[in-house]
Amino acid sequence: MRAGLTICMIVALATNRSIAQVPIDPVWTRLVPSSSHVTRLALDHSTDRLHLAFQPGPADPHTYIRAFNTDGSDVPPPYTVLTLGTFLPVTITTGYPFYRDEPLRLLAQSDTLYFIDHYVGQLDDVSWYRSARITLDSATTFSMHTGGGPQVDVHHDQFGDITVSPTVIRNFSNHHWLMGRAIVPTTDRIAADEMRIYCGRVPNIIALDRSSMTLLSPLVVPSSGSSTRTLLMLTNDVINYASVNSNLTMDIGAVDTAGTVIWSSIVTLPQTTTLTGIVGDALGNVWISGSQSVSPQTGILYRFNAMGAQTGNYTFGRTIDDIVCSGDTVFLSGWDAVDPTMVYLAAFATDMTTAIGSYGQGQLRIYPNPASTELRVDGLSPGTSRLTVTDVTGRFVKEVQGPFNGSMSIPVSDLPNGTYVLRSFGAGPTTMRSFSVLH
Amino acid sequence: MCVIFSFCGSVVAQPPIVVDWMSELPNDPMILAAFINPNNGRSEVIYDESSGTCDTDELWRGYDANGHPGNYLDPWVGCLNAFASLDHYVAATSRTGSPRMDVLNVSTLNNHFYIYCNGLIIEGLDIGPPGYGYASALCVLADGAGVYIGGGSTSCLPAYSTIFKLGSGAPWPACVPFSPYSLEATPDSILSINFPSVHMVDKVAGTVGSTFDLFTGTVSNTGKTCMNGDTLYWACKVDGSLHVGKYLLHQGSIWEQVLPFTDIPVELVRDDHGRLWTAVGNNLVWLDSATGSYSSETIGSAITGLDLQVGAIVLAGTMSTNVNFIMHGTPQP
Repeated sequence: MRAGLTICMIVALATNRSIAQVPIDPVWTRLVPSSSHVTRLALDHSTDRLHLAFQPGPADPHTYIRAFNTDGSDVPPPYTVLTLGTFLPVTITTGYPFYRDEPLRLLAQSDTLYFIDHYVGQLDDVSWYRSARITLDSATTFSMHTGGGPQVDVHHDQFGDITVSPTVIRNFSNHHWLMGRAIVPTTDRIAADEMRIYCGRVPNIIALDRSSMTLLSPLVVPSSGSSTRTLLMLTNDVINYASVNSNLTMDIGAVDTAGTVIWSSIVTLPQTTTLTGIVGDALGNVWISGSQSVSPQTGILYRFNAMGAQTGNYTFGRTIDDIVCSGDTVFLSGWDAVDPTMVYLAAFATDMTTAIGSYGQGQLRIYPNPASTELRVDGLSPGTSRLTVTDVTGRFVKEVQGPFNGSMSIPVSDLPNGTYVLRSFGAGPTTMRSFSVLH
Repeated sequence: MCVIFSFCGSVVAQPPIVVDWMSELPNDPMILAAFINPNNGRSEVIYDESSGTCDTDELWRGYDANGHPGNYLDPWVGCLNAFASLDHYVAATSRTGSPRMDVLNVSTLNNHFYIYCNGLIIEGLDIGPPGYGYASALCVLADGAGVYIGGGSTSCLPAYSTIFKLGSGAPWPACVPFSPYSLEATPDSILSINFPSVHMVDKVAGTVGSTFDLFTGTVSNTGKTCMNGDTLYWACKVDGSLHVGKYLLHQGSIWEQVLPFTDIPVELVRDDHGRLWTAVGNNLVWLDSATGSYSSETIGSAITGLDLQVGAIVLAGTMSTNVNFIMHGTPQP
């Protein structure tokens, strides 16, 4: 089965594609106050919950991790907010924090968070990096601290934990015993299965035998420049990679574990871009996110199908720090450049059919959220003919017929507490927003 | 090509430890010893300051129960660097729960031991009349009733070998025939151990009583011991290799295990599950205290600190890549 699939997929193309960038509009957006502009996002597939790590601001140097349902609604306690960074016994008595705690990486699985942060000790002034396994009762069950350099990635599966510094990979057993520690070429993000750990940068993706931590033959993939950051993803024995080069190109492709290049592609970047995420969706598409480093500091989002054809080039006016995918929905997080005091969490349909539209004009905005008496709806496009409200199960709740003059209010005092979805129908694309009713 | 520090191509025998945190730092300076403070659960690491500047951060670092480095510097003033290589630490923790005792030997400054209890100076101890100017602390024991310091002193000529008692009851110095490199306690006696010889010193009077040998053979290091009731466990390099033994007082040797290691043991501790732990070179070794059967695991390039208190174990040492490591965990049944 595997061999046959490989034969069918050997389409090693190196194409320089350029398709027009399309602004997209999210199905829903949640904004969280933060002045640090840094987020990390994880999806716990076992619970279908999103976890957003952010810093509220310089007055509070802790990192918070807040949980959301995939429809954008809040998850009730104890999942709502997990506060990290309280470990140092320090009283902040001046405006300058004695230490800071910056989220660098977040993964989630079975109500357990795998987290990398960067903090500065208040007395030794040493810059520490920590990868930690944290259960939602705030108990840290394992942590790896490095004071001599950063940690960039963490991996967990049934075989144990892997922590990654740029040139060091540590392999821990399920009892967190250090089974091996390998010196590797510069690595930004690994991919791993029970047998191997893949690391390094394009064009040389390095394979390590996980049990012995010995180097195996590298997987050489096409390169269009000198890589400054490479992200890897492993799915069904296929390694997808995305690599930003110093010459403003990005190499994207897929290679199997035997080293056969399945496809490759080259994207020309509009400006210096930080590569932030790579994720696959249920249809086999590969999504790659990044953020431009200079004005305009907007995010970019590329979609490639399983055969390597670029099928999407999107932006929505905000930086993109992280990307996760559940079913037919892609979730992004980052700094909300529209309201610089906020960071955002947003959901998009993977086919973009219900959400593609002009973000500036006709943007549907709802407030307050949660609502108790009425829900104000702004930004209705002139062609909007009706609005519908359904509950989270899809059951029809109410409908309001147009025409509308850009905005209107929907009474919600008659609705029980819960999460609902507002849809606008008209000449343009259908747009959805999630909101909550709380009396 | 093998690029790791351990287990290149071999099956790993994981020690029966669940690790809850680990920390890495550049290995300048080197770690000399690691302890667990039973009063607060902190893991404390002592660094070699002999070649660096007098930076107290580098001399002593504490890690809280979650592995966060808090630089819990004990508030004594000074720096080992000020006295160069003539100074060193020895430390002990009471088996009965009294605070940990640290002894800083300042032999060339004056004829005092400085005694620290959880970082606070509790007393200085004259070890001889002025002008003798010689003292060295080799080991220390706290048993809840007193603190016993084993070392050398010109007050015990010609052997220079002394045990000082501090704490409750009348303090005494006891002259022993050989320098004590390890001290253990029974309800009535202090065991002054200079491998393979053990001298029993009366706790009240400080008089030297019976003596016996733990084993036979050519000793090439100072060795380590731990005690459980009347059972004395020992680890020592004998005839060129590491020997670990179990000796029952008033009865004799129960078993003696020869291990394929040639380095000097760092420490010998016993956990709540009847298991002995020692470290030799870059090997962590654990033995069944009933039978002496053992297993081992390599880690890093050198293990220089090992302690076990209140059910937790801490390891410290150096990776092969010029970083220090500290690993904290819990021995499992």
